[in-house]
Amino acid sequence: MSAYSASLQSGRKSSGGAVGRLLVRLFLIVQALIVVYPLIWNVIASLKTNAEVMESPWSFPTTLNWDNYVRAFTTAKIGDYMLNSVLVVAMSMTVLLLAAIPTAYVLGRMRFRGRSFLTNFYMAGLFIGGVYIIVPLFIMMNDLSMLDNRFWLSAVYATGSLPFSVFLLTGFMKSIPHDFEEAAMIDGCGYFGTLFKVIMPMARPGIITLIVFSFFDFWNEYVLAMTFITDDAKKTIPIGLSNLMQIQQYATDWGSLFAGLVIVLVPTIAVYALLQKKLTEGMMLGGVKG
Amino acid sequence: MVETMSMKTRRGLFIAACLLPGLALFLLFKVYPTIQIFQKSLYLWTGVGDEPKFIGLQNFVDMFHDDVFLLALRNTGFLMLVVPVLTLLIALVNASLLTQSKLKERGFYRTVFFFPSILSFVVIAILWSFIYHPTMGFVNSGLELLGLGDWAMAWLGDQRTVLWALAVTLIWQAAGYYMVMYMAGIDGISPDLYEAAGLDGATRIQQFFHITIPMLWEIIRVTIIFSINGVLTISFVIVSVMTAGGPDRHSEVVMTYLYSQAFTNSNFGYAMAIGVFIFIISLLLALISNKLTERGSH
Amino acid sequence: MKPKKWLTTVAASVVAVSVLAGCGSNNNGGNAASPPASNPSSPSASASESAGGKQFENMELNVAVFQGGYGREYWDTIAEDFMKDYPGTKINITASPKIAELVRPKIVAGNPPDFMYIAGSDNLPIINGLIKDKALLDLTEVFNEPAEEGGAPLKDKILPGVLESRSSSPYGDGQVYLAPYNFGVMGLWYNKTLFDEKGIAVPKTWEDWFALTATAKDNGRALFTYQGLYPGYLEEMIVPSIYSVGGQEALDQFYNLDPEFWKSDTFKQVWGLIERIAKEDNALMKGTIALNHTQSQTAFMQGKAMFIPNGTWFEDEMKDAPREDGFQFGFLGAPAFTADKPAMAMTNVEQLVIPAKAKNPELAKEFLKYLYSDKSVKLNAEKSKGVLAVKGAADMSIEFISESMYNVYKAVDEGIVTVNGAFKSVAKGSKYNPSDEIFKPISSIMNKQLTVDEYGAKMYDIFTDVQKELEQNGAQE
Repeated sequence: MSAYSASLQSGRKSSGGAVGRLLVRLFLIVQALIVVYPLIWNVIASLKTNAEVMESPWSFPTTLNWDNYVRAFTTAKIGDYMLNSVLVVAMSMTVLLLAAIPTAYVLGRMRFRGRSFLTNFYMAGLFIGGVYIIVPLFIMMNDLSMLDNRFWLSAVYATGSLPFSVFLLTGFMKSIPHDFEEAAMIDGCGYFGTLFKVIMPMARPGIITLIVFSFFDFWNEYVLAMTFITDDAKKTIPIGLSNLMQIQQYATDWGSLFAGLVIVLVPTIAVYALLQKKLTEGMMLGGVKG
Repeated sequence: MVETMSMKTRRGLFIAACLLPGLALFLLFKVYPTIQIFQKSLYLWTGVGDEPKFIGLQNFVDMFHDDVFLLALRNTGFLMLVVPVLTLLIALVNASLLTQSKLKERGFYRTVFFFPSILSFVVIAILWSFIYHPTMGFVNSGLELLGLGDWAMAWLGDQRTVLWALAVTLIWQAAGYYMVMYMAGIDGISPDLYEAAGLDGATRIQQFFHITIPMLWEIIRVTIIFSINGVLTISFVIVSVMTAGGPDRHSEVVMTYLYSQAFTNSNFGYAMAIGVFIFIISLLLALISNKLTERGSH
Repeated sequence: MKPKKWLTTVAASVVAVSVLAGCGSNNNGGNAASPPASNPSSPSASASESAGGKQFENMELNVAVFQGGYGREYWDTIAEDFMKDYPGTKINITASPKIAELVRPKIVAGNPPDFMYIAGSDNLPIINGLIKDKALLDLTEVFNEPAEEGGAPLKDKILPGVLESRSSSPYGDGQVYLAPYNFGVMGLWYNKTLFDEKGIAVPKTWEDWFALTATAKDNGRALFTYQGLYPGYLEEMIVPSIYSVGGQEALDQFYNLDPEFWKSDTFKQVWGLIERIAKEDNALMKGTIALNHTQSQTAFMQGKAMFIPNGTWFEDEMKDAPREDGFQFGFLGAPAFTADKPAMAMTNVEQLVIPAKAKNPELAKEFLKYLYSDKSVKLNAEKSKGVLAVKGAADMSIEFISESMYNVYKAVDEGIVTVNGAFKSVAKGSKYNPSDEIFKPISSIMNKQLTVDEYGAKMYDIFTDVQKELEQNGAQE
């Protein structure tokens, strides 16, 4: 903070700007280190032996134990968990898009009775987090034999993201000029044709934003997956990892735990690197329009 | 018209078809369970093959005589207050620093600071439980390196520090996310405003308080609610991995308590009553913070 | 307007994924291992084939087992053996580390497995639930019947005291509802090499034990550490100590949730140990309270503390963990309070149950009996490295279990006094969980933020309330 105020005061004069800028940089660099250090440490630890992990956090491994990664796949079954996560993310995304796009279109662009009621109905859903309804959800899914099933887990995920998605996309839909639709209708596109051929391309930035946001939510979700999936062969990655860390009387192997953490980070970093711009643009859309 | 359906019917059918999938999901996985927590919170129901028995508001009465629940509530309240305030403050300061100072590398910082918010909470919890490790952890061995070895302590093992330690983890996770939101907002503020203020002799700090914050106010209001709700969800994962509610329940939060009453003690009815309580509290908080941050002259 | 190419691709992939989703929903509906309908070749219809001289109406058995440190291989093998010895029977095994969550829905639906092995702290609540709901089959008869044709009753084979304890006979009426399976021994461990090399005598009494704080310091370590995040491990010292000071009477008081226990002298003496660990210099390893099980156990093995509580699974659990040079597992149990009393250890017997609503209780009972045969005891040692709670099991298992384990079991055979027990169930709908109420606050004693007196007063209040709830609950039913 002091660096900040110093910079603010000196910032006005260009002569004092250099010092201020230095302080600002220092302040930011320290923060960047705090953010980055745990991740770097994780990568280093994933190459250490179990004994080295338990030594100083500053030390480097004497040899690079790629073996940890092998064990993460063979013994700790990270690969299987990852596959489950990919499957669950893909299914959740599909369900979400199939539900959210038509809903947002209709709510955003068509006039009919009950529209404002439905809009408010979905908005109220923004306040119902997935976690406090977990008990009735568990019981209901049990009654309907939906437990231990990756598809129904995905359906719950999609529903969780639905209110925000409808909210976000409705805004987009509203901003598309009506002329396009009228032209399409005159050209003989039906309602569905108009939605798919005209509206969806126009709403593309919104849809991409939605996909990017939802990806991280689905990929990282923990509580619902832990509760609704019990078969080890169907578990997603966050659950697999926490088992490695938490379950007592299991073989202890930090090397593969940290290797597992790195393996989970890779897709996240890849998606982030690819879509970073979309993501931050999307935040602006989501946030500012709110 | 030779069409079998009138235009109006087709339109109606289209609307119905579009709304149906979303509504079906929403009713089944959101609305019905929500009704259920309200209804079943009035029952004594202990799971395993048990017939629910109506007991009126007894579960709610019990809640306020349950010391563990009250402690969990206090802990949650602490986190819901401290974490949003500090997170949003840090996010605001960083956002205005990055946008105003016009550093060449601002894109780099934005990328780096944002990164923790896309990490899995489980990954974060595991990493931080090693960061706080009493002997080989980054914090304590860092203190030792700086010659402050006496300050080293078991951050997660002491009731005086455990909530703060968890709060730091939560802030680390979220500050970048809100920073990016604010940066987007600040970019939308006309530079003329700052220029004019600069000509009027306003310092950067004055500009921060008199231009940046008022212009971002609508976004800040939204983020307060986001952040409070985020704490509720994330604290569950962070606590169950990092402290198991310890030491002596000084980091128990309402969500972990709800979960253990439901799935460890099989008190489904009671757990739902806790769910109802949290639901109402978070709704009230949203309304209150909305009201408090409302400004007549806008 | 022409659709952009991008859109067609997305639309196509959406369709592809949704087909996939459809498949997923079909293939994954229900649990792979469970539904009886999935076995068209199941012989359950053709009933009365002879099996081991007995007739069974229903030849199919659904078995749910906990897959933890012991693995599932034993169960797969023993089931095959059983099916060979009882031709025509069919056993379906479902195994998972969180088996409780897997069987819970089936129990709720009134369709429980026929036979269950439930263990692990995540899963045990379901057993408590079944006990509370009186939903277990009475197994007393199985243990009264001869183990082999014309031989002594099966109960004579079981380790003494096990069937009588609350972990087998939960209602205290002498009826057995939970059959014993693997039996673990728990207590304090030390590094044998260190003790041998430095000529340190294994402490016999708590006084001797505390005297080692100085020795520990000389050897650059603390006296003691434990699994700080999970203070429940401390029962491995506390329970034997309660028995050592106050005998079975005090232990019954403790396990029966009697509030008066918390005013007793036994309580003050035993919890005095905890307070002493907290207060004495170099007794408790720094940072212990913040460590989880693997972190603290590693610290112990690396020579940062001289003793740690744990069970017979210790060596297997930590097989990949780093350790100080020459580290060897040594088991001490729990020291006695005075020199004239024997060393003690806590035992834990895992449980096998048959739900009262099992579809095939007769075959389940036969399967249960089969598990206590010598063949099965050996197989269990070989495949799961576990030791069944039958007499002489240690020697039958010697070639398969680690040396540290064998030594522990042998010590039990040769007279370490063992104690075990389980808390009486609390009232239906009670918010209390006795183990949590008792052990969690110990962290505060260890942190010197709670005195034993304050703790005792708090426990007294809690268990008074627990008893009150039990009375009211009794009145309700």
